[in-house]
Amino acid sequence: MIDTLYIEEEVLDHPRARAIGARFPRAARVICQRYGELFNRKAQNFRLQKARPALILARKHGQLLQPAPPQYGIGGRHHFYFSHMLNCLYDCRYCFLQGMYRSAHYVIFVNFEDFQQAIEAQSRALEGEDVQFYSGYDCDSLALDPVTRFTESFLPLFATLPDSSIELRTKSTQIRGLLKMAPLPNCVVAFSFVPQDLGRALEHGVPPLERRLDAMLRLHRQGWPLGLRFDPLIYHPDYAQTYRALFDTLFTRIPPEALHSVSLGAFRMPETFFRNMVRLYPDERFFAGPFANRDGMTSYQRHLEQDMMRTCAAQILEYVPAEKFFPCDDEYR
Amino acid sequence: MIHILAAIQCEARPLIAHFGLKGSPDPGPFRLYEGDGMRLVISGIGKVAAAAACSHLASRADATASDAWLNIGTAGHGAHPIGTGILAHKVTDAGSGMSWYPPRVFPTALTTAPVVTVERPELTYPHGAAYEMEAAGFYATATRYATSELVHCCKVVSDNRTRTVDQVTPGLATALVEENLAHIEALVEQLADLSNHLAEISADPPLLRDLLARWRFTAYERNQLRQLLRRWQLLSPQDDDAPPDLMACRSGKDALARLQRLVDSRAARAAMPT
Repeated sequence: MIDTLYIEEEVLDHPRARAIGARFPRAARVICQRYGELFNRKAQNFRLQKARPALILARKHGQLLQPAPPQYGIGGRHHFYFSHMLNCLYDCRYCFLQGMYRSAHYVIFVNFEDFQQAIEAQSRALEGEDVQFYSGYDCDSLALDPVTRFTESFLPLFATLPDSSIELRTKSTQIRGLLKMAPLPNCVVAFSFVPQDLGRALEHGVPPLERRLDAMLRLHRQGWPLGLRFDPLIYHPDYAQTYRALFDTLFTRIPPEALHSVSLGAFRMPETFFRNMVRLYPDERFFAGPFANRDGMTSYQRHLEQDMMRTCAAQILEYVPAEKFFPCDDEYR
Repeated sequence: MIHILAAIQCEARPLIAHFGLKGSPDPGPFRLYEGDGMRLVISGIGKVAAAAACSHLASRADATASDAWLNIGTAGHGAHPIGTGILAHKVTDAGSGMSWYPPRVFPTALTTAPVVTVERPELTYPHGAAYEMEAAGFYATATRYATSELVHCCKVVSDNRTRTVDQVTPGLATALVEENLAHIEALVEQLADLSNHLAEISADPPLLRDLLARWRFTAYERNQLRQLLRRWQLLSPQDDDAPPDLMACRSGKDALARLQRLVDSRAARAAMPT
């Protein structure tokens, strides 16, 4: 439920802002000049805001595409991400967003057409080369699709860009928009998972695994390429058994041909984000785990990370051919 | 703890009575009232006075980041009837043009509206906003002490296009605040709950005080100790005792090293978070 809708004056008459605003007729409308006046300012508490986030409608200025981190790759030669939205409907305790932003409000940049122009220009500039775009870096790609109509707006563009592909990364079951469209071979719908008990403890608001699996199978039946993302891997002493059970559940239900890619990465994030998260949730047991700082990043102690990555990589490769497997570090291929 | 700021005595009177606040005997530049988990300051009129009163209250009360702050007063509004209670969703300083957006993280029955702080009474009430004289000074200052989710401004409409500001008497201001006490009380409760929640989760671990008294630590080490004790507490929720052999350590440095080893070992063996 959205109680407050902040709208940049500049987008008041933007058709997408009007359409999204109309979905929240009871929300208080507050006009601002720039979303930065209220988003991510000092003296804000992400944890308190997360209990009742507001929605901000804004225009994204400046650079609309960013080079994606190398470990994010699932094939392709060039990698870019874009953020039509900041923050996520869900409340996963391990998520870096809570350490990166002071605000938990959702920001939707309504100027989709500018993102699309940038994507098209980048694709044309690299014509003939495999260019991969990611939309689920600063948000969940599909969780708010019924509100933003993101897929309906962006995917027709990718139908005209055969050398480029897009990954929609999600924990949601909001696939109605996709099911209304013809599947695109260059759009991968990637679902991320952790073992069920961990999910219950750490992924607040995320639909149960069974419902997400069901969504994946419905997409597969319609012909959408699927991805599985085991990132972040979460350490616990019996991880080998719990991840084995998770892989077994997923890989025995999802036909191998449905899978475009499977990726794997252990929990890691910039040290400063981690510190912010511990400050926000000093009562969260997850943060008391066996973490260590290396080169400005916080991750699991090296030997635990290596054991976990090796074990899980070996387990995944029992189900998936190596060419579809993308660990965040080539060492685990 | 909740800190309340009212500009004038007649606006504060119903609050003082309702919350059972007692006047503070301490001499000072502002009149102060105190009660259970609450302090109220009478700032005088204007944003500068409001900012100064906030600072005074914060330093006198040793305000913490988890304290809540509330500005209560009267305002003019072009559209809302006299007596309407308003919670500010935007506070603008008409002088500088700066705005603040108090994030509301709780439900409220109050109407929400923009509040504009002016130097002199506004008689035409434009832009669908409430006009008053303190909120900007209050908000800018209080958010230096507390997170903005805990800082709010509540105004009761005292004048509008049909009943102008020169008709507002002290008695009317008192009556209007009094009429809104139920809303104000609900708001105070919401803020107090949030404040208590924040204070509780950021409280020091129980052992910290004992260990700080036992050994000498640098500021950096004190912080390390706090973090390690918190981790120990989370990893050993059933253990009330100190980590084993910790008290036998010869120095603070030894104790920190011992605690680090104990926490690391327990962290790697701890069961999955549930």
